[in-house]
Amino acid sequence: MSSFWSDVKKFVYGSIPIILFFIFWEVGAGMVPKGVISPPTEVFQSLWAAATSELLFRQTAISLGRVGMGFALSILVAIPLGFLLGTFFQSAEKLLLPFFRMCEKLNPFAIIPIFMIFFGIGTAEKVAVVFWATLWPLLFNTMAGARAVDYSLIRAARSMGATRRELFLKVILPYALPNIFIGVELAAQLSFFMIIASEVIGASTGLGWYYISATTKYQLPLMYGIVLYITVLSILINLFFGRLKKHFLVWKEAVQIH
Amino acid sequence: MLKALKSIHSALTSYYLIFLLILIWELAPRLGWVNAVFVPPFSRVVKVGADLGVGNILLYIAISLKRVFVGFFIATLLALPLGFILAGALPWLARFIRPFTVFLSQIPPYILFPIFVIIIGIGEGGIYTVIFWSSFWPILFTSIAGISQVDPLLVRAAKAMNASRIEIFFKVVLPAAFPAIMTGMRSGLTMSFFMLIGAESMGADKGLGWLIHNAQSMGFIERIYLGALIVAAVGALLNFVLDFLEESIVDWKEAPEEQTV
Repeated sequence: MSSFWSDVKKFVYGSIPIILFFIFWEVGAGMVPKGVISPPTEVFQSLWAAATSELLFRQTAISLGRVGMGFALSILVAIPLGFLLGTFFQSAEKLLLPFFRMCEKLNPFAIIPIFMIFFGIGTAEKVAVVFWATLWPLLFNTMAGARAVDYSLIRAARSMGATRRELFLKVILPYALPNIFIGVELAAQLSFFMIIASEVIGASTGLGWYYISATTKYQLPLMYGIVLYITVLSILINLFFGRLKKHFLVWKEAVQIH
Repeated sequence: MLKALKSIHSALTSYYLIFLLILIWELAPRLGWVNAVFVPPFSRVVKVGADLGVGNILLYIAISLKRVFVGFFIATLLALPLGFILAGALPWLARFIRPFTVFLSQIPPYILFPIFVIIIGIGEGGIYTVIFWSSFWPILFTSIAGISQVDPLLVRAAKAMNASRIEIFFKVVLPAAFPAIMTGMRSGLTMSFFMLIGAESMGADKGLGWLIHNAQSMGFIERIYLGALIVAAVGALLNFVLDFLEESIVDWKEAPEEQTV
């Protein structure tokens, strides 16, 4: 019970600066010339109108669907590949790692036009962009986790006659999980960010498109509203994956990749 | 002779895959595996780069890097002292405004760009603000975390030896927090370079992001590839320089985490 009240207290304390910010915004918006900053009351009104007209949630669903597809694809590719490179094929690392590092440096913003040439501006291009942006943090963190497995543990398991499969499932995988989840958390943030950006650059549906169309139509309150909405969504995504990571981090501190 | 070959081989191992990719990139359009209009062979991309002129390319790189460094510099100049003050002198305030700072830091800088354009106007200001925004928060958060994680035993020891507050700050707290701060600055700089390309493609008249964006809208497909190559190369170079700097500046805290067996 007391922990509940301390949670409530924490929540109230935490929301004070945010409420202050909104008051400041409301007052500030009244002082600057009209048509630059819209006051939060109007912002929430237009956001409410967008939400009740289902347009907002439909675009959100489209964007999140794209993120989900790209993210799932990237997990399916990066985690097995990271394990292979981090454990059984460490010798291949010297051959592959500089190439991967180079690819990692290839900015997703720079590659969006190239993906557009191949895939158009539809869902396929968005999925490819998310895939590309999330692949590298996932891959590198999985590799770091798999490589950092304590060698004496592997030897101990081997001397007890563990097969390769057992070795992998019972030693290497649990040991590498915290690092994988660091990668997953990073990638989740990045994927949501990139989907909005790539939809702003070129799309005909999705949350980013909704934002940019509000901007071009000069619907200022709606535009600020969508910024708020996107921010809250990305905080929620962060919170979710942070919780998930904590769940897997209980027993071991992750090693840092360098 | 064999030895020399071997040493060349081991020096080049890391680059074989890149060479292979370039070779495939060159051959695939020429042999008709992919459409040469959409995937121009590597040599043509290089030729377009040569036509554009090395001087022009260097100029674009310089303009982009200048934007990154100016925005990053201003962010560092504001974030570091603020982080020190919040973590060192007013930890209760840091805790109090934390939800708010987290909220602000989560606003994607990229979609702030149109808002900055409305408020500040089109031009350099918006780009600088985007870069400022994307490097300010990582630096602030890591400097707060770095300072508050300094071993209190060290601070107490220094106090017991009658060190003044300023001495404690400069001789104990700052060196102890320095590696963490460096990590934050580094991720801030990486993030700014990442954001720069996006910001420049939204509204700029020079620079690397503009090069790609302009090529896209004009249909110069070779130039899109050229721009992507240059961006990757500059990013890799920046990373290399940062690695080098980090190694040469943070030389004292090399000891790894304690081994608990």
